[in-house]
Amino acid sequence: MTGSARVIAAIDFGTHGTGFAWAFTSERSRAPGERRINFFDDWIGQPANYVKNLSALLLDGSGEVVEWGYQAQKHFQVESRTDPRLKYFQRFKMGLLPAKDAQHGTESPSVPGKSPSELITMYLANFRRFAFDKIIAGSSVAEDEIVWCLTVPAIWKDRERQMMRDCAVAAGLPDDRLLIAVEPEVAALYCRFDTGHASLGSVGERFMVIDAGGGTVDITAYQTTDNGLSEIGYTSGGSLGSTYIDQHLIQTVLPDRLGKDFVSRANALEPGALIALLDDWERAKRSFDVDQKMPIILQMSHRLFRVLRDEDRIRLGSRQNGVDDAIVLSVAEVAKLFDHLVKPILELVDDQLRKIGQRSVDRVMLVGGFAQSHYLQARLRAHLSRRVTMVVPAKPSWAVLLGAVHYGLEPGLITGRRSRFSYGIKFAPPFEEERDPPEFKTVNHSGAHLCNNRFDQFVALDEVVEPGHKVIREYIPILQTQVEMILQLYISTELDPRYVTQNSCEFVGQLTLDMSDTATLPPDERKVEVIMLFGGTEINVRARDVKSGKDVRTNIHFSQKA
Amino acid sequence: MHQQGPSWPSGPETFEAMLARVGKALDEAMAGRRATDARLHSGLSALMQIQGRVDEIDRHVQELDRRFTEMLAERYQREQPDTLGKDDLEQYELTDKIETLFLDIDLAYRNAYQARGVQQDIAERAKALFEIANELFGPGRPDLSWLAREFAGKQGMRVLEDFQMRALGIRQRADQLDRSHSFKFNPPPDQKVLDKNLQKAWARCDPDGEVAFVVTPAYVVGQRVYVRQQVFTQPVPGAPDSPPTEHG
Repeated sequence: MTGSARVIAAIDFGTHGTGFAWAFTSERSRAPGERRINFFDDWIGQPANYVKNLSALLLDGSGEVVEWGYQAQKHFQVESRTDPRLKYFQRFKMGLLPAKDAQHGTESPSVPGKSPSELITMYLANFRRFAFDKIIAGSSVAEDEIVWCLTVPAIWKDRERQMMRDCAVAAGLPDDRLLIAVEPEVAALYCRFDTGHASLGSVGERFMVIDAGGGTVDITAYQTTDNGLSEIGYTSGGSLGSTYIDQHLIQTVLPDRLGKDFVSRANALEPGALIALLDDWERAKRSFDVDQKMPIILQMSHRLFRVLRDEDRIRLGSRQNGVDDAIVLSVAEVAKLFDHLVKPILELVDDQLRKIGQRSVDRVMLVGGFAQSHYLQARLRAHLSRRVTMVVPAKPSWAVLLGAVHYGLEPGLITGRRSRFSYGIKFAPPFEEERDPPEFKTVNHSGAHLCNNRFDQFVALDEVVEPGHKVIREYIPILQTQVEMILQLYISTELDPRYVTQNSCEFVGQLTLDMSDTATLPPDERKVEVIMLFGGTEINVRARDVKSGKDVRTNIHFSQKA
Repeated sequence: MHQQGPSWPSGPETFEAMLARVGKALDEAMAGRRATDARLHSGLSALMQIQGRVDEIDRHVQELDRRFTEMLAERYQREQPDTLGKDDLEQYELTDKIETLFLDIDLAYRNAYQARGVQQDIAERAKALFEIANELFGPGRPDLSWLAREFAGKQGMRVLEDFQMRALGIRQRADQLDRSHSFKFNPPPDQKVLDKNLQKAWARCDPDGEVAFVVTPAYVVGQRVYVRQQVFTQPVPGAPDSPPTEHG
């Protein structure tokens, strides 16, 4: 896919911010640390130069995009008082994750009026247009010479990854020139190949990657190989990104300091006034440290200050040593806010180390926007101190973006990925009396007893799969009269489950193969070949009628459990 | 269809003669086979030669294509020198440190006043912050000893030392990253309203108010504004909550 491209462009679509970076493919010939990778940091409406624009949208009453990014925020702050139909959206990325998968008591934010997919598509469409214009200006490359690489959290399952691809394609990114990159995986590439971290240079080094972003925290581990990296970890994580600290600030600290109805009153009187406060908070979160002595100060903007009633100001001043035009947060208060997330993150790290087992890892690399948090760094370092060294590589916030460019330039650097599920197809082998439940018994064209609902495993849970790994199986129709074969795909969190009806199994999609051309042949001659191609960040499934050569579409729509 | 190859004799023939004839025919056939093989071989080697040439041309095209991409990259680097590169990303870490330092100074200063039971006007507070910022980021080595009266005692001195050290660290790092950086204190000449690309209203000042003076500097590298100037503005006449006053 990347062979004939002239440019690799990576998009790190984040919960809080989204950025892009790109490089000419001629950079492949340089050592990764020496590659010239270009960024953009001059967004319209930005408060100051920064690589990421806000992942934000402003829609009008009919649901059309008015503005996106910082401009959406700015426009909303100015116009929302006069145009109540304007709707401002942020943090919609996490809406793709089903609520049941948001771990440790945190939930994905729901978005009223629009589905997360619609919002993501709208945002990516605007972002793509902008990024494309910037890349071609001065580089003289054509649109079809760009291969795009879009990052997704590792805890996203195939369903969310497929949805993300669908959104990206609907947003105008070319399906045949679009790589989906897994965030901690590309961050690991950055750690191994770009940071010049000497300890990761030799073959056989084992390291864990904690990718702490705005929405999610992803954890996995890799071993350096001759040609790249092979996964040794067991992907885990959850909705534990730094934006969830913001929720606690808004839901607990602000009402406590400014009155229970302050947030709703501020949103009603001055929609958008809280945004500047949260921008300050974003910076303060990064700087906050475990041995910090100074409290955190969040300045109240002119507009927010106007929302305060006299009694609010008096109460605020009396709580804060006379300071009534800023929120002063004590070190203990902020630590408490962080600990809502830090504790579960530490548990996840312990769990990962336990699963990796005795050989453990030589190092833990902390990357992502949340990795800039001195508090998180200190807590993790202290927690791991006797077991393993924790390292924050240079430029941790950009590890995913930089790593995604390296991945786009050399996708083969990932030499093995651990399968997060058992993958299989529902089939009907001979019925085993005394073992299979009678209700699953069915009869085929020749009167033989078969067992329905069996799980035919293609790849096992936790199996390390090399890129391009292919599994081929053949099936025949059960009945003579069958004019199509429905192949139902399942994943399982269990190793080699017997039946697809077990709780560990989840239906993820199906292929329907038209077999009408071979309807007159005996069933034994009507073979269907199913090929699963693993090893990329996505899985391709193809079914082919061996006799007629008829193929079914490779595009599987992953859906939720049926 | 006419068939080639040995035919059967019309009269009696000795076994030897027949053997000789068949042997000859076999020799001829073998020669024919060898000739055909040779032709095939030469055809094959010609084909392989052609395939080799095609492969060579392919490689050449690929190499030219790679060179072309390389040239596009070189031209881009030459013509777009202001493009943000990997090394520039560290500027953002400095940005956080600068913004946090100003907030910490402001809070420490107002706490110091509060401790002495002195009520301070917000404009005075802004001017004091400007003086401190100018000392820390203006020309010369940071020296805050003149603040000893406000920051009395050992703890106060420690706070001042901490600010000086942090400012020094920021300046040194800024030098290392790009010597062309500047801490801009000067507002654009004859300015009445905020230039929102370079400035923002300080604290709770009205962003629509008239520009009075710069409180903290912008941090600028080339055309990039990493930290905006914070500006004290006069309130808009008739606007709610004007002028900003100190409460508490």
